[in-house]
Amino acid sequence: MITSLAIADMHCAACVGKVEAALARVPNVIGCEVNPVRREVFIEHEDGVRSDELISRIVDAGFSASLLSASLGSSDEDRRLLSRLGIAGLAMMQVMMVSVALYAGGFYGMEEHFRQLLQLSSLIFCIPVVSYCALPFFTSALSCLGVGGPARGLNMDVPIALAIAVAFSASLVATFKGTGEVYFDSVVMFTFLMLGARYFDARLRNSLTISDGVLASLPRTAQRRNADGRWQPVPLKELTIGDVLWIAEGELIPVDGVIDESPGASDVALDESVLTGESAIARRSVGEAVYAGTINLGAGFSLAATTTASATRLAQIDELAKTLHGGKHALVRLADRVARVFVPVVLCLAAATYIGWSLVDPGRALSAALAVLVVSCPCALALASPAALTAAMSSLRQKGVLVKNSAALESVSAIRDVYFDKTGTLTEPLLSIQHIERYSNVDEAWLRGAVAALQKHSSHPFATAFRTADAMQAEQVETVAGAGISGVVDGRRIQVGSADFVSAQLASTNVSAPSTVSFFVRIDQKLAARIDLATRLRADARSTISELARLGIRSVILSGDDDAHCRAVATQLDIDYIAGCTPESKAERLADQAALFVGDGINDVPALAGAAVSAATLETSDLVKSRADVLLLSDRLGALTSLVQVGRRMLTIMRQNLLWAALYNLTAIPLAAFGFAPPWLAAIGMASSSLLVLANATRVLRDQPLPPGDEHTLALATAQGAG
Amino acid sequence: MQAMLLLILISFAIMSVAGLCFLWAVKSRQFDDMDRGALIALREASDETRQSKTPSTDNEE
Repeated sequence: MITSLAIADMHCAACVGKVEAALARVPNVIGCEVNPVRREVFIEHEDGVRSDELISRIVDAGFSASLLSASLGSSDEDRRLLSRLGIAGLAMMQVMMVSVALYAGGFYGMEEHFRQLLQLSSLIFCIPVVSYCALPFFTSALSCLGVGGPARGLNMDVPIALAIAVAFSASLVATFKGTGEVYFDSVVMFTFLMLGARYFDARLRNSLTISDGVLASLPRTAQRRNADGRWQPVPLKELTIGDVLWIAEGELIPVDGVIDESPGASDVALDESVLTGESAIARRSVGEAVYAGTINLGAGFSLAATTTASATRLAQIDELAKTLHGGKHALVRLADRVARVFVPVVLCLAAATYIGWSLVDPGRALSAALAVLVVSCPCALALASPAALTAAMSSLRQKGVLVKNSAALESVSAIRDVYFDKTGTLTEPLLSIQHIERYSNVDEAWLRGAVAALQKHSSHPFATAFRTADAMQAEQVETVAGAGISGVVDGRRIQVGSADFVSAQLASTNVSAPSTVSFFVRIDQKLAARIDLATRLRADARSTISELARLGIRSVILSGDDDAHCRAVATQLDIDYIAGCTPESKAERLADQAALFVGDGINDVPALAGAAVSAATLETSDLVKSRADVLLLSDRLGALTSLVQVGRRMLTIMRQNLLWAALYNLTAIPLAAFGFAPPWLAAIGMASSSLLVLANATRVLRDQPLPPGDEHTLALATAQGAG
Repeated sequence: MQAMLLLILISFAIMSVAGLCFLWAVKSRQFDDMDRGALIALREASDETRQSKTPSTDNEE
């Protein structure tokens, strides 16, 4: 089994070594392949190894990892295609070599038996190409025409397969009869070039698969209470409304329901960030509703199901997103649209050429018809957009942007507005320590270390604030669900938690700002300090927004938070804001707008699917990842400017390519039809037009924007260009 | 004539060997990741520096 993980903060060869070493120590891991450029790792392991175990090992090594997809590497399909391409390439070299001799013979004269020997050897090299390499074209063309299934209409493979088959059989006859033209060179070159285009396309599509989200990661079974009061595991899909389920500590809740009993604590602590995107812990007491996909952070509790597994709120959000998303995918790939119109026209033209020449000069009919088929193969037209897309995607990948929906990349250049979700997008997803108020003369560094030691044992979102502190060793650690944590550090008893937990008398009225969360520390039964946690703006939020403004793009905050919270952030960044949005109203606002939406929570999913282009950070849940068009692999928002720049450049180049391909076909087809281009020249014409398109596409990669900090150079260059 | 026939046969044999080698290489996933090779040299160097700083128990290829 293979698990693939995305590791956002893996930058260099040393990081690769650390990740590999960390994974090598996991039992039952067979091996791993780290790709530092794409920041991915493919881990081969026995079936028993769980992905969260692998992730935690990588996290222990100091990296952040997340699941990219269940099982993917380069697929078998991809490898088969590469094998075919390679064999065709090798055969092409041989046939070309022989062809040089044959053409020389054609010009200067050649003895008949030499000519036959050379033709025969071309045939031998051509056989594996036609019988093995070109096989996908034949099977696809046959299935399109309705062999072994219903007919599906013409696709691009029909003229390709026809050209290969006709040219090969005509050459075969010519070789053995000793009269007429042979086209083995054209056949082999043509097959090679078409396979090359196909391989490009396959690579592109293969790099985009991402697993389908939280729904897939829900547990397969749940603990249900039987009539005799005993707990028994049952498959999720057998659950009915009213079933009572046991949710243990740390478990994902499988269905929506209301809390039945909570024997461990007075209330239930939940991580609802998957639904709300908010990292603050949610507390629910007996009788209140809880939702599938949220995580039980505190003690175990029992839950009475109010929905079946397929009708949860999570499933509904996913469904909503799918319908919105489906509309986007209705944009049929440009190459296919072209083929649908182009292929019948080409076939008719080839037939008309054959008939026309049969009347005038029957000896040249086949050659001219083949030339039309080969020259007009919409190769350049088919490559024009995928080549530019692939180049743009790999360029963005190296800049830390993963493009999942290539159709969306085409609309990037039209973007005029960027809408940001606030929490977790413009602000850091993790909480940070804003202020420590000491009530006794305890040393602050010691306090941080001691609290960090305790928080290492906690899965509470607040614990992330202490990640960077130097932790000491804690003993006798006890967690009180949803309230706090206590333990012994340096021989002193420390309690950390809510006001109720630390001291029953302490009132929690003295909390400072609305965006902060406070908790209290008690050392040896005495109140020692109050720690305020706050969300912080991402480091490059301001610079990104000004960069975007320079590109002519307006930034707006679109948040579900209240007015005060939004205004605080908006004034810091000097941008507009729209507060108090529901997930639905976000989606409505974004519909029919040329806007980019950047979000992170499950509540953003409808908006992500509804926006023209949507982006999400990698720290988000799988469902969000599966719905966003674009993922930012690093925590830098600055990648958004790269996205816009590359997207714009890509569209320009794509238009140039399409224009060139159209012009080429318009001039080359008449030339071929009137007999001015023999098939070999047609194949060369097609090849060079394709190469030109590919070369043009690589310009997306070459025009690197200046690295940050070089704004002066850029300004100078612009000034000089203007002057 | 014989010389040419021989040369053509030899070229076919060489192409077959090259083709089989290529098929084997593809099948053993050597073309799955084209980015990593460029960094191998860098990586070994950094492994050495890492080992000289901290004694490591890693078992790496």
